[in-house]
Amino acid sequence: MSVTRPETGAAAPNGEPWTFEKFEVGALIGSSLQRVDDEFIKSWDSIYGVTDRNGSLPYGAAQLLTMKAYAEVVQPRPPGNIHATQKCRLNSVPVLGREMKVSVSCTAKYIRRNRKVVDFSVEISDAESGLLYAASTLEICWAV
Amino acid sequence: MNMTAQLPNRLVKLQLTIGQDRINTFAALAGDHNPIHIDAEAARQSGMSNIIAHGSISLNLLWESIEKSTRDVASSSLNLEVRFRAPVYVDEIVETGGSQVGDSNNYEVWVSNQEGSRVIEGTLTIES
Repeated sequence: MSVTRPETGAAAPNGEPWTFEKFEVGALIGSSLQRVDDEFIKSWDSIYGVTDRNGSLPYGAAQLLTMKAYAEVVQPRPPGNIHATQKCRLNSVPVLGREMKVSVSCTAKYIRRNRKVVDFSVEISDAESGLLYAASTLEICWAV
Repeated sequence: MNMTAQLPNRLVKLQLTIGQDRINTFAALAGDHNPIHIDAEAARQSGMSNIIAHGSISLNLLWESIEKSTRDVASSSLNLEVRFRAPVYVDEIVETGGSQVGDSNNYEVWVSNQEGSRVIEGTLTIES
């Protein structure tokens, strides 16, 4: 698997589930430090099949770390949220064993067709390569 | 991100049966243990007809296709924009697709279910 530890944030105000009203546009919600190890690769390969990457990580590792950090940092979440769209940019593939910082921010919230929508941005960086991956928009239809 | 091969006309097609074992493995990897991914009753209470797979399982299959298709293409970054159009239920089969728009560095990309309906669609831009 991957080693994860929350760094900042990671709790809604008062520890209650995040609601649409509680999100502050432009605010960093939290970040986590993550490191991918060989167990991660074994699990990944058990889902998608074995690919010889000469020791590098799958491109999709960044997407997975994005959702992992989101799930970890935006806590607790109400049930019923729907992941609607995503825009992302992969500059460089995460490196096996290297610690990465994953930051989650709220970038927008609005009502669209009577649905509450919250946009997040997620950035993955490491000390050597800088910004590896950015999900500039992670659009979630928020349940409450 | 590397290399010098020409842009492909199409992305490599990949197919995956999303059984409960894969969903469970993905849930552990992503730390997402939402009951709608493991419990049919919880899924029904959320308005689904059965257990649904994490959307990122299908999205990451698309990333696998992109990786296999562009690994040797010179690029500085990959921009992917997608919309999740429909849920994928447990034991459904999904397949990736992608085609170059003209001779540009843009692609239409998608993931379809076994009925041929697109569950994810969007665009990929390979920046050099």
